[in-house]
Amino acid sequence: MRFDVAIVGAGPAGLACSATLAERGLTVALIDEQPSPGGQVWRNIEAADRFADPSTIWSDYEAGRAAVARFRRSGCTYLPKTQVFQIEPGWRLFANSGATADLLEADRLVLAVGAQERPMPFAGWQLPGVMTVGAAQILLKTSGTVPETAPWLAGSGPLLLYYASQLLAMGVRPAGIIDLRPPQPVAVRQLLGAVRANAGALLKGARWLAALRTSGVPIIRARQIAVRGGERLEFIEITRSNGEIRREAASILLVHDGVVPRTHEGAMAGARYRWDEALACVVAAADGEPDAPVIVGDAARIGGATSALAEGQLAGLDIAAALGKAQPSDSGLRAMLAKSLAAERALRGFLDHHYPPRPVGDDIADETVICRCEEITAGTIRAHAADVAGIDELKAHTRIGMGRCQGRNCAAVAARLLAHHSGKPQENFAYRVRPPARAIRIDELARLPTEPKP
Amino acid sequence: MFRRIDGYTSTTITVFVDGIPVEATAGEYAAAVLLRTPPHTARLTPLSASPRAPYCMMGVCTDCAATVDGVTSVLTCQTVVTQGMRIDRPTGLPDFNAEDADHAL
Repeated sequence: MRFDVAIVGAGPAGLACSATLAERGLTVALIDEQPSPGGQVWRNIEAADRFADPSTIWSDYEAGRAAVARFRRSGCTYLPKTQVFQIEPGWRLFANSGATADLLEADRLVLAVGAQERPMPFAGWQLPGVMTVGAAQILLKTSGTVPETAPWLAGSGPLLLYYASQLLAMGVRPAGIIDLRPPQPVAVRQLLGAVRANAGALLKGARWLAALRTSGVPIIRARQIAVRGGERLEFIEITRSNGEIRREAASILLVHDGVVPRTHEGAMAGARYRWDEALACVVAAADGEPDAPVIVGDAARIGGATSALAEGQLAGLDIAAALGKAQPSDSGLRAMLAKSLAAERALRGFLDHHYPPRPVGDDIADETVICRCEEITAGTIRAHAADVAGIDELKAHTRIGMGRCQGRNCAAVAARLLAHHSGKPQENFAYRVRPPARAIRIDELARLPTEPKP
Repeated sequence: MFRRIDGYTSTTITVFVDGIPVEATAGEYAAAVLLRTPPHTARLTPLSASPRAPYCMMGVCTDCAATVDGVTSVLTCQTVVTQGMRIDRPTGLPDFNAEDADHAL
């Protein structure tokens, strides 16, 4: 199959981009891992009638329903439950669905693959009973389930507060919230900017905080946590900033430290990223190379769903114009989208300052597993810090990043640890990506066509 | 580890976890069923055979892998349940020297 445009990812950015292009008569393929459109933020939103009040389950519920409905009407070729495992210039995309691998070709490539939660290692984070806040929220959206016993929440960021407020609304009272934000002054200038540009979003956050305060859920400011247990989580050790250690019995701990762009698809397609020290993650380097893929939404830089929706639509307008499908109404649309983006960026400026990523350094105990797949600890990385040039060499020495997740959970942490202990700035914050970027079965690979089907 | 909220409406189906019938709802993921079925775990790590449970629910961490309908190493957080689906958790690491050694990890 050959298309004018192939788009990877059916979250806000991918939905808006593919609908914009398909509405203008271009042939568009939207490839997505999940069985239904929406991305993580609007995951399973088409099944909203299972809930008495869906607006409490999905953020910006109405916008999500509208984006998905528009996409469904647009005439785009939708390939759900499909994983891209290799991308070649030109563009040739190798993807598998179920037990079938296939090849499709496109003139233009848009990567709208979104974000993943920033890995937040601490001693014991690999034990059953510990999972991410995002994971718990996906379980709510896709299964209608909540923690069976009062969960502890730890870390920081809007998603943690949002999920805590959702739990309260459903009558589940968290055992406590461990606020692990590094100490810092209030970002007054950014706060004022956000108030001017996007007071509504700030109010939403203020309501979550107020609901938590009135619920009486303890909020404990702390520097680090560790989890103890044999086969599963039994205790959380909370280290306060004064060094005092508090021990709490626990059976469920949900952790969150913000989200970061997902980069495996971009790396395969030859996109360039740069490390942003303040954000502690990579951002796509917009270099304007004509044969580079277009990266939009959180996959390029974390901006949230509203921002991704506008960016996806703008990217669609740009590609349509380049392919001779511009419309007279485009300039008005662009102005409206630019305004929406500016408001979202002002909000993001405040959130980035108010919820800074956790530092990676001495507070990570030697026993902490950094590579969950190969079970490589912080102590092992420290032992190599003086004599490796970077994480790819570390990988050769230790097997770090060589497991099933292909470095998605350890690469940036390992690079930050190396930088901290060696004093050498790091060049790479991701391992070199080699196909297949997703584990696929050897029989799928063997049956892969070398030319696309007509 | 997780329980259904009140007022959630969905079609009920039956799946088998380690051979035992368990109630599931149409459209949910196999990992969600594991998190409601003690001991709430999925794979054993290939190196130390330590138990792991679904952690990210979005195909990043791969700790939710289990055997689904006889196929090993399936990411259960990316697998929607079907009526009669068999989800099996490992009981130990495979013996690669055994006559019938599987490629399970």
